[in-house]
Amino acid sequence: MRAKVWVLGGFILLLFGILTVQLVRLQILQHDEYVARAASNRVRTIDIQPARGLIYDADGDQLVSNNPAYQVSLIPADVPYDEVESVAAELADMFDLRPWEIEEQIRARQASNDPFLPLLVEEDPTPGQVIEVTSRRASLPGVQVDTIAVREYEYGRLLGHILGYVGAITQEEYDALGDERYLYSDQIGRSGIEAAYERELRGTGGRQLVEVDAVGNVLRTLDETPPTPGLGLVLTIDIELQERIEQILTEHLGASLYAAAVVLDVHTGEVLSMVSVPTYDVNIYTDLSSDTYQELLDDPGQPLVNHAIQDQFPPGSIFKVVTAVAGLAEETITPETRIYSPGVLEVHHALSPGIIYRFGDTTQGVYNIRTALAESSNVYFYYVAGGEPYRNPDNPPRHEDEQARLDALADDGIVAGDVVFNGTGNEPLARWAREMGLDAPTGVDLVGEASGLITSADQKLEAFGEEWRDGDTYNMAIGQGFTTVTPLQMAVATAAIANGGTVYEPRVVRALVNSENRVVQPWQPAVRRQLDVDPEVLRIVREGMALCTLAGTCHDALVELPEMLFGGKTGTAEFNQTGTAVSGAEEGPTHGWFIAFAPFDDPQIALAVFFEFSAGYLAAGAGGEILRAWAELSGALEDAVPPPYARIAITEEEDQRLYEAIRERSQ
Amino acid sequence: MAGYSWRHFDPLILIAALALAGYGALVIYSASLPRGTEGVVLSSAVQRHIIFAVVGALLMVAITRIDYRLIDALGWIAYGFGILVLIAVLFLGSEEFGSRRWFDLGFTVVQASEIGKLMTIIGLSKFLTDYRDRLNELKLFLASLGIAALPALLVFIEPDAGSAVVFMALWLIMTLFAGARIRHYAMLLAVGLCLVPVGLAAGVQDYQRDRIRAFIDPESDPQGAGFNVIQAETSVGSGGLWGQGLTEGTQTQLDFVRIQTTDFIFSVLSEELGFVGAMALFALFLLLLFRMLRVAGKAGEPLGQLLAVGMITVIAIQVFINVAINVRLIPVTGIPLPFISTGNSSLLVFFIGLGLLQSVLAWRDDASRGPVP
Repeated sequence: MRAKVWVLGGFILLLFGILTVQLVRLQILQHDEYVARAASNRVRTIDIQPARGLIYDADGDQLVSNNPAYQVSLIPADVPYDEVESVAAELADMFDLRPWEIEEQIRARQASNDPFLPLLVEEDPTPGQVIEVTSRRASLPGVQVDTIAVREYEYGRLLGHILGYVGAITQEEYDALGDERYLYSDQIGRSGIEAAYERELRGTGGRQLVEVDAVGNVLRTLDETPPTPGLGLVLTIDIELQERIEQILTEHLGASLYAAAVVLDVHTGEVLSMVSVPTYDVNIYTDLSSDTYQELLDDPGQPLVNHAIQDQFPPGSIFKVVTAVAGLAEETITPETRIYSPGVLEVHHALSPGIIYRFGDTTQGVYNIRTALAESSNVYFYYVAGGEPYRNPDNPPRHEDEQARLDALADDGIVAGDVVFNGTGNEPLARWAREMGLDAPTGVDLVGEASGLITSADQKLEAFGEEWRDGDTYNMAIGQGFTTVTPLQMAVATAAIANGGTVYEPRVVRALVNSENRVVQPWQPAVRRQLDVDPEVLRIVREGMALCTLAGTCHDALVELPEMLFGGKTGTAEFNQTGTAVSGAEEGPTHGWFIAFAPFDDPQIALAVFFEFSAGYLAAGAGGEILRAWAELSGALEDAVPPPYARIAITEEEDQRLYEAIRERSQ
Repeated sequence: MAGYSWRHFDPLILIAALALAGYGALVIYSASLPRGTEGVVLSSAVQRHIIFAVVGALLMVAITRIDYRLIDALGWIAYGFGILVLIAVLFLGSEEFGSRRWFDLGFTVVQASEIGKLMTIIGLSKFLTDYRDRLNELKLFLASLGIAALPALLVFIEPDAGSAVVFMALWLIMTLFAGARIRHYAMLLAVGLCLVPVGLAAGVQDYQRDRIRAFIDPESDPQGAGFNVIQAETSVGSGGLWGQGLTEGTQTQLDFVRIQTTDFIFSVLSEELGFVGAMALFALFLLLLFRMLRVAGKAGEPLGQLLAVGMITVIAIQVFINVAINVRLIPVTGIPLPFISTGNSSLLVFFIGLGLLQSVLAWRDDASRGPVP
C-alpha cells in the first residue's frame, strides 16, 4: 500500500513535470514569438482616406464637392465563429440579402489570408439602415458604418465629358494597385480628368495604429500618420463659352446624331471649350440604376462618348489645309502655281484602255492655292498631292475643242490636261500630316483619346494586301480614303497654322493647387513640336482660309460674324456605315466639318466643329455662331478689324448677292 | 472516548487549499475586471469565490468531526444520490453553451458532475473496501467499472467529455490501488480498442470533432474552434518569465482569451504572472497533493486510503487536463482548474472532500483498532 502511494506521488510529479517542460518551451524559449503574436492581435492598422482633390474652373469657382455619405461594411475577422450565422441572418434581414450568401462570404474571407479586409455589405444604405446598424452594434460584431465621400459635380452635364467621374475600385484594380495604398472602399477615376489626374487628385493615404479588443472595438490610438489631401485642379475651360457652344451645337443638331466642337488657345494649347453633344450628367454615376445606364448605352447619339476626342472620322476637305502646307513646304507648288479643274479628274487604267477612274470635284475653273482653299477645289489638291493624272495612250484622244482649250490654258502657264506636274507624293504628305499632330493622340490630359489614321503604302499593303495606287494619293489629298481624324486633332493642326507652326499638346487643366489653394504646379504650355516650315507658307494658308470665309465655302460662318475677319475651311466628308475606305469619287452620306482661327490679323483661337451626318456649310454656320460667342465673351469683338467685304455683306440680302456672285464665278 | 483527535488535523491541507482559493480569487479579479476601471473593484465572481472558500474551510473543519466510517453504512445511499443528481440535471438543468450541466438554485449554480465525482469516490471506496479480497474476480472487476462508468456515461450525455474522463481516471487509479489484476485491464483495453471506431462514429459529437480538429490544426479555423486554442497558447507564451503584470495582460484584458474565469483561467494567470506565477501555482498544488498522499499513507485501513487516493486523482487529473489544454498539449474539453476557476459548487465539493481526508486523519487511531463499531 505504501509503495503504491509512492508510485502515485511519482506519477503526480511526472504530470507536473510534463506541464513545466511545456511552460518552459512556451514562456521562456518561444516567448518573443508569442509576444509578437499578442501584439498583432491587439494592434491594428487603419488606413485613412485622403480627401480627393477638388476641381475649379478658370475663375476659381468650385466644380466638384466631396459630400459625405455612408456605407455599411463588415470585417470578417471580427465576427466570432459562433455568431457568423446570426450576423448574416440579421444583415440579410436588414438589407434584403440572402443570409447564406453573406455567411459563405464571411467564412471564405475568414479562411483567406486577409480576414481583416472588409466586405462591403451595402453601398448606399438608407438613413434608417445606418441608424439601425449603429444601434444594433452589440449583436452585429464586426459590422461597421464607414463614412465615405461622394463626388458631386457642378455642371455635371455641361462638363461631364471633361470632368469624368469616379467609381468604386474593383477587386482587380485593388490587387494591381496594392502598393499605392488604395482601400477596398476607394473610389477611382474612371473617365475624364478624374481618371487622367487620378494620382494627383487622390493624395496620399494616412495610417492610424490603434489598439483593439477581441471584437474589434477601437480602444486608443497608438500612432497616426495623417493623410495628405489630393491636389486641386484648375480647368482651362471657359464655362460661359462652353455653355454657349453646347447650346449652338444642340440647336444645329438637326438630323445629326451627334456633334462636337473644340476651341483652343492657339498660343498655349489650352482647351477653352470642348463640347460633345448629346451630353449626359456624370452625377448619375453616384446613383446609377442599370436602366439609366442602358438607356445611355442604347442612345444612338452615344452620349457616353466624348466625340471630340474619343471618336474619329474622315476629315474631308478640311484636310486640304494639311495638303496645302505639305505642297508649299515641299515646294511642289508656289503661291503662283495655277491649276485648272475641269470639274473632274480622270485617271486611266494603265493596262486596260477604256477603264477610267473618275475623281469628282464640286467646282471648276483655274485656281491658285488661295482660291483653291477658298473654293475647296478637289482637282487642285489632287494635283498637289498626286501630280497630273495618268492618261493611257491607247485611249482615243480628247475632243478637239477640249484639247484646244487645255492647250490654251497650258500656254498661259496653267497646269492643265496632260501637262507634266510632279505632286508631293503620299509619303511626304503623310509625314506633314503627322508633323501637324495627326495619326497620334494629341496628348490631351483626358483619357480614351483616339489616334486617328494617316495611312502609308506599307500599312495598306499589310491591311488589305493591295499596292498603293495613285487614286489613294488623290483621296488622301482631300481627306478621304483611309484618313480619319478627331475634332481635337484638327483644332491642334489649325492652331499650328494660326500660331506660326507650334504644335501644342492641348490641356484642359491649367494648374494644380494644394488644399490651401496655393498653386503647386503653374501652367506650362506643352509644346509637342515646331513645324519646320517657312512662316510664309502658313501665312499663305491662312490667307486662303480667310478668302474661304469672304468668298468661298465658309460663307455661312461669315454671315454670323461679319464684324471680324477670320479664316476657315469647311469639309463635307463622305463616309459609309461600314467604316471602310471611301473614295472621293463615290456618292454617299457625309459628315460636316468646319475649322477656323480668329481673328485673322492676330490669331488667338482655333476652332474645330464636327457634325455627324451633315455638310460643311452647315458646320460653318454653327462654327460662325461659336466664333461670335467667343468674340463676344472674350471682348475680341470690340477691337475687331472688319473684313473688306463686311460693309456690303452686312445685311442678309447683300450677303445673298455676294454669295451668288461667287458661285457664278466658279461655274 | 471521543474516537477522534484534533492532534492529527493537517493544517497544511487547509492552508494550501485556502492559498489556492485566494490565488484563484486574485486571477478571477483580473480576468473579470471591467475594462477601463480605476482602482480595485471586486466583481461578484471574486466575492463569491472568497465567500465560498471560507464556507468551504468551515465545512472542512466541521466534517473532520464526523467519522468518515459512516460511509460504510451510508456509502450506497451517497452514491445513489450522486447518480440521481446526474440524471436529474439532464432534465431539470439549465442549458448553457449547448450542454446541461448545472442546476440553477437562484443564489448559485451547482454543477452536477462535481457532486457526482465526490459521490462516486465514496461509492467506489465503499465497494472496493467491501470486496477487496475478491477483486481478482472478473465480475467484481467489471462491477467496479460499472460504478464509475454509469456516472461517466451520464456526464458524457450532458455532454461533458472532460468530466467523463475524470470518472474513468478515478476508477483506474482507485482499482489499481485496491489491487485489481493487470490481466483484466489488458482484456478491457483489447475490447475497448475494438470498440473505438464504433464509439467514434456514434458517440463523438460534432463539437468534439471540431475541437479535436482545432487542436491538431488550429490555423484551419482561426476564428472558430481554433480561436480559443490559439489565443490561450499566445497568452501563455507572451507571459514570459515574470508575466505582463496582474491586470496588464493584453490578451486577457482585451478579451482575446475567452472563458477566462473557468476553462482558460490558467492562460490569464500565465500571461499576467508569467512562468514564476505558474510555478507558484504548481508548488501550491504539489504541497496540497503530497499532504493528501500523506493521508493515504497514514490511513490505517483501505476505506480511508481509497478516499484519499480518489480525491488526489480528481484534483491531479483536473489540474493536468486544464493546464494541458491551456498550453496546447491536449484537445479542448471544458474542465475547471480546481480551487482557481470560478464555480462555487466545485470549490465547495473540493473542501468537503478534503474535510473527509481530515476526518480520516482524525479518526485513524480509532479506525486502526478495528472496523466500525
